[in-house]
This record gives sequence, structure tokens and C-alpha cells, in this order.
Amino acid sequence: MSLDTAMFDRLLQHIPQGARVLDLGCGNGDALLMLQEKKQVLGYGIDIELPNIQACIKRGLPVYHGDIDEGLQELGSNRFDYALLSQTLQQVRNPKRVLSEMLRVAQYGLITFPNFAHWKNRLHLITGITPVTPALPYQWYNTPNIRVITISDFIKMCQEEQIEATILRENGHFTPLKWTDNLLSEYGFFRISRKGQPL
Amino acid sequence: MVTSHLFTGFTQDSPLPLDSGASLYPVAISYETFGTLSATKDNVILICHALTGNSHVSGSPELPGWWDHLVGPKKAIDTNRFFVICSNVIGGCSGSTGPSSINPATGVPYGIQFPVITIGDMVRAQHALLTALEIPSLHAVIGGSMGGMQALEWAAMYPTYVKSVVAIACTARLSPQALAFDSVGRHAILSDPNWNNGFYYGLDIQPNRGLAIARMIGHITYLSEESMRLKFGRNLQQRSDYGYDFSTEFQVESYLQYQGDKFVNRFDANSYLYLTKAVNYFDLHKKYGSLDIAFQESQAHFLIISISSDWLYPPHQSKELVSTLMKLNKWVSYANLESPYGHDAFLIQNDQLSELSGSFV
Repeated sequence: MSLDTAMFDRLLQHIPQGARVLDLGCGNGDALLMLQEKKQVLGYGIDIELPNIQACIKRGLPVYHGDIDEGLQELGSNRFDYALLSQTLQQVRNPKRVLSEMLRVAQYGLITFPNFAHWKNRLHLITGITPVTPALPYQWYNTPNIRVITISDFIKMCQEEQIEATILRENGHFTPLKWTDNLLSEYGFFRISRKGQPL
Repeated sequence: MVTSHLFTGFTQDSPLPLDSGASLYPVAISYETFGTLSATKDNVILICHALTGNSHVSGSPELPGWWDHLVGPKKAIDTNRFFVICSNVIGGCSGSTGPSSINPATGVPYGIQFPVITIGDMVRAQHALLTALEIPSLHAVIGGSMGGMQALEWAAMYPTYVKSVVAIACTARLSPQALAFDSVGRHAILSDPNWNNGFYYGLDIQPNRGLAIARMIGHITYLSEESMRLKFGRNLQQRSDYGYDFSTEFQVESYLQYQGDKFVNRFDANSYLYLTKAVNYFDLHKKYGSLDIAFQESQAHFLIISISSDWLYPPHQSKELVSTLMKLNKWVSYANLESPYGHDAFLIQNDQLSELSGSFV
């Protein structure tokens, strides 16, 4: 199952009908369009690449051309039910700020990132080579990824930041972290929210 | 199918009310239409021109329009599909009532007895035109620079009439820096002895010097440091070395002088005073109390486009607009076009601009 398919499956399972959804780094709008068609969400995209903005406008999706690393100050608080951040966390300069902005404008964040502690990556490192895998398809010299994240690291940071983080399973359930997740998951799939909020 | 028309409306009994409190009659509006009005009248796009533009937005090889690359048959704004209307603003000098028109009270041109008009007044006059044409709603209103201001004002003044707005290289109000440049331009005209307090119509001597200088100043603000560097560098126009005198030497000087001299043949100095004043007074924050209030009733979808190198109406001013519209839960998209050409980029062939506005409408 490709990441896109896996991601879309999880989004469909987790995002309720008619939700207000912000997609950070929305690309050409595939996810928003799918959610709009299947879940009638009210979608909004942000992307830094003009061709992606053009693609979204062509598809009738409202979009903002901007850099999520600069913050989401254009967006008012609690504007959205869900903020999506797919395969982008490892590329932002200020992940804590991005997460906190997500949880300012939306009640929940849904996040995916390549898990650097996946056993395949560990094998690469044991042999002394930077991992190049389907989840991390770049060489060290051309990767846009500026951060190395593991599922355990992510959980630890969320705890420090008073952020509730739950793994999204393929079966549609949220379940607590198992010790095997960090070893066996190629990607981290999380739902985050402010601690103290009803889940 | 392109057709030129002249609409005349408003009478002494029922004049056009102006934001200043004054009123105006009669009001002639020169406009052109492109394409065919659909049976349900739902395919109308109003295009608003910038400071010194006119109604000829789209043309032919013999008489090119000022937005030919964007508007025309099979163009991004496809006149095979849309009925495009473009009118000359009031206060201008390309067919609509302005300071060079005859003042009915005196029988001679208004000069500076013409009332000061605002962007809102221009839009009110356009609305009267569309009402007379029995257009029930606008599919879109599109404009760049001062045209974008009109588009925004349309959304604020007629919130349910406009279905979508495209505002390019635009702002909800000018920065003090932009005000300053316009002020210097007006001073150039006002201090030209041939301006003669605005009463130079029919005389042999016209305030051409002042108007040309005003245009030169304006032109500097429409370009960017980068575009000037790429286009002219420090090249000399006709000499191989400095002449150590005060003649026009640098290519950039010669270019500006050419632009200024060309401009005086097609533009009226008083109109330049009036239109820059209208742009300077444009302030949606002040007029409505806040930007939120200006747009809260609007039903329109918005596409706001800025130009990366536009320092006259910089991208952050467009972002402020977008931010307000987002807070109001309006349907709004924003794009910042990468271009080295400065404010003028909105008038230059730009595939990105065409694609964005074309797919939006």
C-alpha cells in the first residue's frame, strides 16, 4: 500500500462528515479533493509552490500561497476541526511552532512523517550508510528533509509540549504506543490535540 | 465581437452622489464590450483598468488592447465564453466624464472645478452603467492596481451583486511611501506654469513638462531595482563616455524621458491629479471602519494576487487583505507571483497570472 493510499484511508476513517479541514502543504489538492468528495469537508490548503496553488485553484479548492514555517498568522484561532500535516514535519525549520500553530487554528492535528527508527533504516545505519528507502527516497546531498524524527522522539516532544499524541492505526482505532511501533512502522501516523481536550 | 459605446446618465434632478458630498451630472461613461451576453445574463465580467488605462482592454493587431494576453477569444478570460465589459473611469480622459469635460454650469471644461472623486465614486458610476444595461449580477470583477481597488470596492459596496473578485497587485490602502510618490507627481504638474490653475484647455501651451515628470516618477515606482538593472544597467544612451554636462546620458534617463513625453500625448494633466487623488484617498479601513466590516456582507469568492517584486503595493498588503477575508470565513485564494518586473508585472505577459485568473473564473 502506497503512503498516499494509506494516508487517504486513514483520513477517510478519521475525518468526520462536513469537517473543516486545513491541509498544510496541500500539494495539488489530492487529499482535500478526496475529502471534499467523500466527506463533504470544507477544505482549505496552504502550499509554498505556485504550481500547486494553480492546480488547486483549477480544481476549485481555496488555497493560500505561503510558507507554513512562517506561521499561520493569516488564520484565526479555532477556524478548523482538523489540520493535516503530511510528510512535511521533517522539512520544517521550526516544528514546535508549526505544531503549536496547528493546534491554535484547529482542534486536532493529523500528522505523518517517515520514522527514522524503522528497522530498515537501522540496518542501513549499521552498515554505515545513510538510509535510502521508499519512505526516505533521497541521498544525503539532495534531501529536502532537514530533521531526523523517530516515533519515540515525536512522542517525547509532544509530552514536553503538553500535546496529546495518539497513533492512528490502519483499523481505524486510536491506540496507545506499543514498544514495537518505533521498530516496525515505516511512518508515524498521529492525531494530536492539546492536553486536557476531550479526545 | 467588440463594440464601443457611450452611456450617459444622471441629471440635475438626480445627479451621481459622490463620497465627498458633492454630486455630478451628466455623467458619460465610455465603455467597450467583448463577446456575447448569455440569455440568462450570467456570464458578465467587468474589467477595471488601472490609473491611466482605458476601456480598450482587448483589441486587434491594428489596435491592441492593454490586456490582450489575458482577455480575448480563447484567452484566460475567454470572450467566446464571457461577456466582458470594460469602462473608462470617471475623472479620466478616455471618453468618460472628467476634468476635461464641459461643465454644464459654465459651458467650458471643468478644470479643477471638477469635483474630487474616489474609487467608490468610480464604482458607483459603473454600477449605474450595469444597471442601465440590465445586468443582474457580475460573474466576476477583475482588476490590477487601481483596477484591483475598484474590484475590492465592488465587493464592499455591492456585496451580493458580485460573484467573484480578482484583485491583482493591489492594496486596501496605500502606504505613506506610495502616497509620497503620488504627491511629488502632483507637485510636478501643479508647479508647471503652463498648468495655469487647471485652465489650459484650448490653449496652445499645455502643462506637458509637469505631466511628463509626474509620469516619470510614476514609472519608477512601477519597475523594480532588479528590472531596471537588467534592462538598463548603467549603460549610456548615445555616448561611449560621460559628457560632463547635464544632458540625458544614461539609458534609464532616456527611457523615462521617452515614457514621459509619450504619455503627454494621451493623457490629461488634470485627470492625472484627480485619479492619483482617488487612489490616495482609497482606504477601505477608514471608509468602512475596518476591513472586516468592509467585506463582512460580501458573498463573493476572492482571488488575491500579489507580485513578489512589487514595492509600490507590496505582497504584505495583499496578505493583510487575505487574512481579513479568511477571518471572515470568505472563500479566498492567494498567490504571490515571482516576477522581477515590479508593480508593472500585472500588465506584462505572464502565464502564471493568466492560468490563475483563467482557472479561477
